[in-house]
Amino acid sequence: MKLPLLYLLLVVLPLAGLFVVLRLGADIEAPPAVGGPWRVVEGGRCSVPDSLFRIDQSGRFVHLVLPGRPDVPARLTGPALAADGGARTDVSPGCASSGVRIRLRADGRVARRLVGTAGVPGCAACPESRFVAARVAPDSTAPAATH
Amino acid sequence: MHGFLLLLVQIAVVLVVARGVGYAFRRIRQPQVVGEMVAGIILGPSLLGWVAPGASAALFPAESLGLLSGIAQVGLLLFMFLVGLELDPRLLRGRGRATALVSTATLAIPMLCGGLLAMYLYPRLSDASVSFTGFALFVSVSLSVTAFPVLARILAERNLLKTNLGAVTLACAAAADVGAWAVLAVILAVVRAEPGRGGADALPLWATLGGTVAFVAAAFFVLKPLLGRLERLHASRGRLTQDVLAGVLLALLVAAGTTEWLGVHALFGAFVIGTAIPREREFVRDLTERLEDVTVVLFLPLFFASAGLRTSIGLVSGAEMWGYTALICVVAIIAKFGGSAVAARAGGLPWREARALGVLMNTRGLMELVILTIGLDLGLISPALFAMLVLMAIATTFLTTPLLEWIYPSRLILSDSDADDAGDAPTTVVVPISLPSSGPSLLRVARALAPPDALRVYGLHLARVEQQTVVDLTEGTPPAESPLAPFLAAAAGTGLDVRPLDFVSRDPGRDIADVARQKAADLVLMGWHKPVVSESVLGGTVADVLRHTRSDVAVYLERSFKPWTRVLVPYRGGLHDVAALSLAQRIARTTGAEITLLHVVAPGADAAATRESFPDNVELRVVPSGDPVEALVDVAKEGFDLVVVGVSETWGLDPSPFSVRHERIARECPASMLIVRRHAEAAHS
Repeated sequence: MKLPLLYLLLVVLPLAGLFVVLRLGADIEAPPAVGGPWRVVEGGRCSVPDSLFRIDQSGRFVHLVLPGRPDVPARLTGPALAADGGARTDVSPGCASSGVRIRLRADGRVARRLVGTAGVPGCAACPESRFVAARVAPDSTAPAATH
Repeated sequence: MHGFLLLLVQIAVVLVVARGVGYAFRRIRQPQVVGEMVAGIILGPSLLGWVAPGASAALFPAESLGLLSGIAQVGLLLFMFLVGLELDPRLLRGRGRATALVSTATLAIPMLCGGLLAMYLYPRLSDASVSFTGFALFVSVSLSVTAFPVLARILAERNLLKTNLGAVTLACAAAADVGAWAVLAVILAVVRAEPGRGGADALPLWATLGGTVAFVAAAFFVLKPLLGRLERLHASRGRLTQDVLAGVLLALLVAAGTTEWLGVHALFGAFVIGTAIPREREFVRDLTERLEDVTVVLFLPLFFASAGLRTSIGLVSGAEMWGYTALICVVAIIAKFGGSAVAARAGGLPWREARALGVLMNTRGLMELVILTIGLDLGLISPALFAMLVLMAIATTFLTTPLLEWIYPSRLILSDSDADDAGDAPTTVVVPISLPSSGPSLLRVARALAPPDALRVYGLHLARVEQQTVVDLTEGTPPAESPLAPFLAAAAGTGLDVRPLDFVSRDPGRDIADVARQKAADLVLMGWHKPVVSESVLGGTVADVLRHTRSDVAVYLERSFKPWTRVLVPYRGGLHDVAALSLAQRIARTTGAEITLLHVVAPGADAAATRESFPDNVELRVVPSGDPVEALVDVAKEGFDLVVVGVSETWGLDPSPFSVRHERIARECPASMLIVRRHAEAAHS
């Protein structure tokens, strides 16, 4: 096969393909950025006892890192964050073995507020209630905090 | 623990674990660097932090990692400088247009595959703080990178450097590395120019790109001439002075600082300045030697530990995440292996070599880890994706050696390389040399075996794997400090056909045997020097050679350098005794020495009857004795210059590892000795 044709097939076409991919991919939506430090603004004191917590994000796979407690695995579906799990130890004895249930919604592609509910299912001392968290620093989309 | 004390402990632990795991990987025929990468992961949250979180937190508290990482980054600058230094532009010249096609295609095809993979991964493993363009370009580069240093080492270990496959692969890998770093520099410039990512002091995109082009031009048109002056200073002094080294390091720091300020990462500057160093062989070699050991032994393991501490394989949890990991590995292998193999085949390489090139180009190793940490630092990839890509890098590098052995076995490599010169000399001797001082005395024995016009001698030096990380890719005769140099100097002017062979070996015993087979050697002639842990003449590498070689083997122990006039051959008629006598007769023919056969009989035996069963043309000494070894030593003391003896239990020279009578003869015999082992197949041929 002639060399120019091989260049066309093996070099030019792949690079052109990459260009097309970059153009097409610009329309693909990634999950909202929620990673970083957060502060509880309203509610949820029994399920998220500390006012500060962190979210570690790898795409739609998320971990809520609560100081001194097991991480709570969570999942993003669109702007909706659902977290279930994490043993609690500091409410009423009857609720100690239950996990938290958090349902939040990001307010934008790079979230600044998370609004929703948090509580412990089946635990009267910690019913699901309104929960609002705000991003701690406005520039927390910086690399170390984002992921 | 006090901060500095903790740092010392951390470095010590990293060193021990890296060396230990690296050694274990060498034992399974893997590059040490793969083991060191795994060692980093072992020390991180994936294993130590998981198994013993308390110990992990005490040993690597979060607040201490900045210092460790800083030292690792300085080491990485040195390493990238060495990689650039190793990338000789001459590798790319004169390789033909087909090689240019292959080297470009091995970059372009994986980049397209990386882009397609990014389309799938972006909505799953990235987030809206990262643009698709930045993410896709980064994944593309991470799939297209080849670990040039690891690749060069694998080629050297498998004696492929001087084959067509080795030359094409090196050219492709060099071009791919330069291309990948150039693309990465553009990506970094683009990404850092995005709002909120580069920081307040980030330069605009046009300034970064323009500045980078200006920097590369300055490196080659301004810095290179200045470095040329340092090179001439080195040449005039005949060595690398501290002032010259300081000048080079200063250039490295200026270059790294400039590219860091421009926003395309300090490592890019280190790499570029390495490629801009004048290619005077001694200068490059001295710089490499001065910087390599501390970089590879100390700094690189710190980088691996630093990267490992950020690699949390625990983040890759659940079938879905492991599915993504498998997908990344499959796409990476198909893109790089498949793309390179197809391009190489289209470029004219036979299928087997094209597939071997694909396997070699699929080696990502350390360079991938370097690029991934940059992506993680910039937030281009998430920690989970980082862990997945690290696993991919380890898997693809780990696969290289077994896949290469499967596709292109060592026996085929040996038969393909230099096949034209095998077996056309009447007598061919392979002389493995580990100590420079043994070269002249071994050449003396080799020269005595046949007239110069009927003899070909291969001087073979095998550097052990752990002795060499940055491979000398220059062609031509070995440098003056090579262990082969005294051997070659002694051969100069003798009219002998002496050919140097010099490569890296993981298993010297087996490689010596392979070379002997490939060169159709009549004899493998080895020297003996006292090993560190054993006094066995026939132990260590010699034992491996005896086990694997299908030619005759002789081991020479020199006691004095005076001419051989009287040669003693202990003889009982065994296979190896016959070989010893044959060798002694050859020596006698070229040197004029007299041969005396020594036959030891039991006390009281009929010596006259024994005498009748030996040839008349040699002098025979029949000695009654109950201790053949003692009898041999006593007779050897009667002015013999050389004892040529076949391996045998009788003479206390049993190559079996459990022989307790080992080497008494070697310790007590006052004359030089040549211990001969005839291979059974050689005896019948």
